[in-house]
Amino acid sequence: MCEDKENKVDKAFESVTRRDFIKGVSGALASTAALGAAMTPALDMGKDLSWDEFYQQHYQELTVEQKEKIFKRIEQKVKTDYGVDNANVQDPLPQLGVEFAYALNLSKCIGCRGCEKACSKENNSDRASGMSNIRVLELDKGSINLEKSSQSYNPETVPQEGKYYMPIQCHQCQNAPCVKVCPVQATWQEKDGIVVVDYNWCIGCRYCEAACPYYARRFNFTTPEIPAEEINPDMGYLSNRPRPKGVVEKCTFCLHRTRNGKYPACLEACPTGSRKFGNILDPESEINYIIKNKRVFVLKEELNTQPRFYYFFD
Amino acid sequence: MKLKTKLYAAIFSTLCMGLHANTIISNEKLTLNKGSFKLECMSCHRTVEKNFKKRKLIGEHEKLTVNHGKMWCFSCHDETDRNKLKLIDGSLVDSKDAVQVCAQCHGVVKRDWDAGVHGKRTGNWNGEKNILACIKCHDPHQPPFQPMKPFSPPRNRFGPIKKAVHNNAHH
Repeated sequence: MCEDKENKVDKAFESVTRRDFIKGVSGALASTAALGAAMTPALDMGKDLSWDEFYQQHYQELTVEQKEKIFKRIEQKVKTDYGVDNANVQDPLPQLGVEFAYALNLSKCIGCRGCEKACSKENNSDRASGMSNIRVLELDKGSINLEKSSQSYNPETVPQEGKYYMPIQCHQCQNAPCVKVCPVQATWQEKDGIVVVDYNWCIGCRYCEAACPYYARRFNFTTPEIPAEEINPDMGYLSNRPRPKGVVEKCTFCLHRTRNGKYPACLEACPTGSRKFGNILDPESEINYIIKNKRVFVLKEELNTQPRFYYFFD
Repeated sequence: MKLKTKLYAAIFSTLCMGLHANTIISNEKLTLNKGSFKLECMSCHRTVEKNFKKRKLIGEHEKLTVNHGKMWCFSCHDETDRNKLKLIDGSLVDSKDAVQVCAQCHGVVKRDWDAGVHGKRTGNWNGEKNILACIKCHDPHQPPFQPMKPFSPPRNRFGPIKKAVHNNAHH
């Protein structure tokens, strides 16, 4: 028995030739190197991602104390990344009895892109890619085929003869397809109707971007580049704080402004007064007057998204 | 008399306009702002003959384009007190109350403006608002919005993003 065993062990060693040994070792080395290469992005991530950030809970599960700590951390990060001291991260909550709605007068809009630029500035969007949560579409008068619209029109002056302009942004749908498709529930609808994203929970799968029929969601392919003097220091956790690379962002009706009573930035930038905003539950509000008295429509009504963004004529 | 009017205009434009290039006709109160000088309308118009005809304007009003239907100066301005505007019933109002003058014809727009649906408002949606009056956005002499240069279009998403960032940033 014992001899048998010894023979077996000898045989086992005999079978490993010098060639096989070198093959095995080099294979192991190659696979280690490949694993290392594959892990590089993960290792790089450590530069931007702290342990606190990595283990941060979903926004809706955070306590007030945890939030305070997170906001401090974000303010610190804004300071190191963008060189801005006065960043103030807030989290204004939905007001009771308030549901926001937006209306846009297509007869008045001249397509100047003032709203688009104001949005980019207010919301600390990436300047390198010229990101904005608003797109202004140029369409032929009498048509409403968005597929044939132009976003890159650049004539000497606007409005052009025979064209009309349709700014488009998040419609804050009551039946939002983007919320339904999110596999990790990183996006949801708040009590005042605003659809928000927890940028720390978003995994960047871009399902929501594909699901949105209004092209309202944008993906951060790079870490946003914003010059220090252009940073807007009034930040909301769910709205305009600088986003990390690889997450989706969207219009939040400037919730850091509107939940504090102010008008959104795009409305204040519009030179024609085409944009109207308010509380749809208030019967005295401007928005209520429009819905009662003007010819109002919603875009792609057949999809049953039930937007809170109305277009109207007069 | 016509010659006299022309003479006054010529003297005024060469002497005064030559000295103070920046002429602004203020909207708040009808005055002519020339640098640090503020002139009442009547300081010139006291001596200038009234002229109800549509014509090419001269002197201080040379650059003014009037394109507002069949309207002409005295449709809105009072002919005896040019610092005031006049309503159809003959009562006079200051230019800060010009809304009343506009509303005489544009009643439907005024109704929308009162409801906050026409025109621009800034400030708070549920509080204090800054409400812009008609002539803050519309030139009363030429009311439609004039064509303007649009801001630059968004950048193409395809291809590498240029690192030279800030050419668009300092608008």
